[in-house]
Amino acid sequence: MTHPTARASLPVHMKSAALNGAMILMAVLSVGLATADLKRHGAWPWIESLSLFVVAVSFKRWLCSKARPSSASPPFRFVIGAALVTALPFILALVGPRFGYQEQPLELILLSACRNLSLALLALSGWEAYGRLGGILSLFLVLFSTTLAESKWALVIIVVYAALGCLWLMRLHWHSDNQSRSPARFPLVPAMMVLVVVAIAIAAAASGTDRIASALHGYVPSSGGTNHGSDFARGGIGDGPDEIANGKDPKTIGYDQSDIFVNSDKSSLYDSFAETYGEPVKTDEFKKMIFLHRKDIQPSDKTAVADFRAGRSFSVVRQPPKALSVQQERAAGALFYVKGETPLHLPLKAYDHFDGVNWIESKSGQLGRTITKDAASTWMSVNWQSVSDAFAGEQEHQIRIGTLDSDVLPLPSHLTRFRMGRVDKPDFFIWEAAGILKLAKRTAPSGTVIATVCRTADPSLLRHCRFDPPSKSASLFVEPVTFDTRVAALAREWVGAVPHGWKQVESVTEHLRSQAILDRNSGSMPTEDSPIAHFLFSTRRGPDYLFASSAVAMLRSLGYPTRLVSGYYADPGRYDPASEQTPITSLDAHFWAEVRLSDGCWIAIEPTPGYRIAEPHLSWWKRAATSTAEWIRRRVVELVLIFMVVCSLVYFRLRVADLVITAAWYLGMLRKNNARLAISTLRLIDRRFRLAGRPRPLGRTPRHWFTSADAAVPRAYTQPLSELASLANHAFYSSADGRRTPVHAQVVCRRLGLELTAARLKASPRYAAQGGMH
Amino acid sequence: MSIAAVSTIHKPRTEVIEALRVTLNSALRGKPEVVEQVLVCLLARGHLLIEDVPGLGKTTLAKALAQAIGGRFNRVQCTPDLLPGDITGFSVFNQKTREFEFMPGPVFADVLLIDEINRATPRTQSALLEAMAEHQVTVDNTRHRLSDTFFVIATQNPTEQHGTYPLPEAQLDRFAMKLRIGYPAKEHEAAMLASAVGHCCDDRNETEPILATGELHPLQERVAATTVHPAVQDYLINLAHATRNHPRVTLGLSPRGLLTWQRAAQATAYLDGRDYVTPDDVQDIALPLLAVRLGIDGGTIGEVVDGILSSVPLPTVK
Repeated sequence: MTHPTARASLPVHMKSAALNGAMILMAVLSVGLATADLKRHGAWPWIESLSLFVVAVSFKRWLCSKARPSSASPPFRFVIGAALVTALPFILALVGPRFGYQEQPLELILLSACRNLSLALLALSGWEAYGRLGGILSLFLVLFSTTLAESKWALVIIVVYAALGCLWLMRLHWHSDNQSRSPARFPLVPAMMVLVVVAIAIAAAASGTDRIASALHGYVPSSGGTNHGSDFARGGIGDGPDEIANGKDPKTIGYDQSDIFVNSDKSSLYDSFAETYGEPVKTDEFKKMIFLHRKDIQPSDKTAVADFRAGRSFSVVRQPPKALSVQQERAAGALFYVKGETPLHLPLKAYDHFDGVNWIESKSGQLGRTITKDAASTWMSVNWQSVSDAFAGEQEHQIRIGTLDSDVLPLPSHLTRFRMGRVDKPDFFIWEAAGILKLAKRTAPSGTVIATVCRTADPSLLRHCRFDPPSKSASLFVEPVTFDTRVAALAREWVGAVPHGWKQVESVTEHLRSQAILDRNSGSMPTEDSPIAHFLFSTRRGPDYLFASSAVAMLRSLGYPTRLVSGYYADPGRYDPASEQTPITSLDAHFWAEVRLSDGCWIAIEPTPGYRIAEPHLSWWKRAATSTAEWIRRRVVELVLIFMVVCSLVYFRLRVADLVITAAWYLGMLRKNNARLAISTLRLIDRRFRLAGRPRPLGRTPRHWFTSADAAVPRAYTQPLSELASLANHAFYSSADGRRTPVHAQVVCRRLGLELTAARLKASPRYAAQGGMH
Repeated sequence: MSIAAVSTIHKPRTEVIEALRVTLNSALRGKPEVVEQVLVCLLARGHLLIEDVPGLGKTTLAKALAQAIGGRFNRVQCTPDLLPGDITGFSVFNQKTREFEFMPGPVFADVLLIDEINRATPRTQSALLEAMAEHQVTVDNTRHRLSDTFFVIATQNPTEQHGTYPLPEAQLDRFAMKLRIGYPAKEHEAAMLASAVGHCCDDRNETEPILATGELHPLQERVAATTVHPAVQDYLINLAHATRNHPRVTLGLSPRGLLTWQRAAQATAYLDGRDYVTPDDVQDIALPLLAVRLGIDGGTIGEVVDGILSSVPLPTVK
């Protein structure tokens, strides 16, 4: 659009610019909507989009106030800048994942790039053509992103955008057709009619049938990311992780919590074991009798009878589990959900006695801890009589019971406080084993949420802990697991010269972790040897209960009170970012071992490779220091390289900066006439003076500056510099028809540009006080 | 290509200007910058106020200038009893024609040297106002045009305060510049002494004029046609505003002073052989031009002008 008279055309221009800006805002909003829908979390896409929009608008205002576009196209550097901004998402997608930036699916990268381009065009929309291009691009953005988005707001955006777009097109058409007419005669009535139509459309969409309002939602499915494991991988209806969410949709083929096909509606821990580890091998009674411990066959011992009842022991001789069907693998409903930091071990059963094949559950062990209710709240406190100095800070978790049917509560060890809704009587809770809590006389109903606060063990502190020789109360936990002397010998060999204490425990665990292979699908069939000896000396391969049993056997042979624990393991790999929880399924059943400190605390150890003990919960600055150190350790080569590059950049900053501006000048030289060349060379020299620490003072003309003592120009260049000053003056101030700069400008400018570097300027000594040239 | 050769390519300096320069420089030895500013004044049609002690060559310079531009030279020595009519001229009754006849005074000259102008009474000083500003005098209600190239060189003595009448601001504003000549350097004094040996009197009046009569005016017109880029004009305006807002300036630059500044900058550019004005030209003549018309409260005029020049950004041209 031309500007016939500034007064008349300015409001017109401003109004269509405002419309243009509003359209691009709608486009940006729709991109934010699509991104938020695809990523499924947070306000971050909105904040990002809106702040970019604000930046673009302020940049445009600045540009308009600084230089009312008089030229036909914006300065070259702005166009380059726009291209860079457009390319930024692609660059981020290439480089970002290396530095922890979340990976994006391709369509989001494309959307971001298009959004950036339209914002860049908005920033440059002082030039009419760029503004129009931005308007057209916004149409593509709105269409594409609203088809991606699932939210109902997409419809609102489309409708508002349509109204704005109609008005914009009408204005453009009117003013390009009616240049000569007065802009005041813009047809308001049709414009109003358009708005009425839009209002009707909004009303129809809001009150009409469901089909209109939802016709476009999620019409185009997401690509599901560029990687198999992308977080935002999204299936279609009734497929993928969404199947449960779509449970009420008749088209779904997935199974959800109320699935009628699942025979057993609840699963117990031992169901999980059978599923995960396979069925125990039925051994004949005779063989079993041989391995029974003498203590347990006393007929008068009632508790011992109770211990042998079905389902309260775990056999380490089992068939390999059946290959899991797809149906089972994708557990429709989790047993329970853990919210909070993972990995986390959630013990349910503890075993202290091994009869050669079966681990027998502990008799109710007392840790000497009582439970009291807090006076002011429904929180329950666990009273620790003595606190070992083996613990770091506390950790909070929330556990929501799903289909788990168990009176034992899956809670983390070392509880200090917990809360289970309004169940706030200490009588409701009893100790299943030392450190394992259960509900008295009933199971925790599905949907119960238990909030817990627990201490975390710190290995670095454990190293200073004492493991006293087993006292009378702990004698049960050092009875030998196997009578095979090779096990004890191997334990001694692994421990070597390591002093008695936590380091020995760690040494045994580490050896097990590194020297055996976890294979959950191999069973352990009955052999001549004890299953533990068979595992340690023959196969070195097996499921996790063999690792844990071996650890117990070896540590007991070294004199540490140890027990086997089963329960569930909250795997950080199963964390679901959408619900911010870790669902625990029967596949997460796990065995590990615990070592008893002299004060009775049981500390978990993890002999199975692939499983981790929860990190000690340190104060935030300690954590920051550790994670920073870890981050640095992992990227040490890159960091050293970056450091070296930065150091050399800092050291050679003068030369580098000079090189950059000289390169820019040199490139510019190719397409400049002599007058522009003189001006750009003068600017180059000015920048070099600034780099050399002697900027030309405000109000000092180049000619005066170059001959002054402060500038301290090397004497060989005084003459060419004043020559340059007069060439630039000629280019600047001479009348338009006299802008023919002499040809020798090239010679002078080239010589100065290539020879008089910032380093040379800096090295040249200042003249003596009276040595200025005149 | 040698740099010296390069630098003269776009300087179509006229031989006349060069000859004027040479003549004036030989009259006033060792002061090329003063000569340059005198030439600027002459070409800008401004008047010149020289403030210095006696005996530094003011009269010599004025006479040499009058000689060189081929005009009539007059001189007025101001005293407290000098009357306006002594300068402008007066009417006498001609017995033969029975009419009043106008006897033109010394103001009817091409170059007028007014010596010790601050010794004249304010009344006499004001008689010069019209002559300097409008190139005309009115005597007995009759207007008399002065020469087109009427050029006043006034001198005043800064040391003697007794019996002087300081020039009013209105009068000062009519001068384009105030110069100080200053003592010549040693070697120039030696040369002067050497050249004086063997001559009984310094007689240069016989030299040929460099400009024919009426040749100066076209030169001045050409100066007035020198291009001034709008950015440079902006710069001039910013400078003028800076003088008005400067804390130590009591009387800022008047619009007439601004006009004079532009004209003087044009003359400077012309003398440098250019047909366009640069900020250099504006800055080069700032000190003598502002010295005559700024009222200063404390400090020297040099400091104030330096402060103003360094506070106003140079013009930027796209």
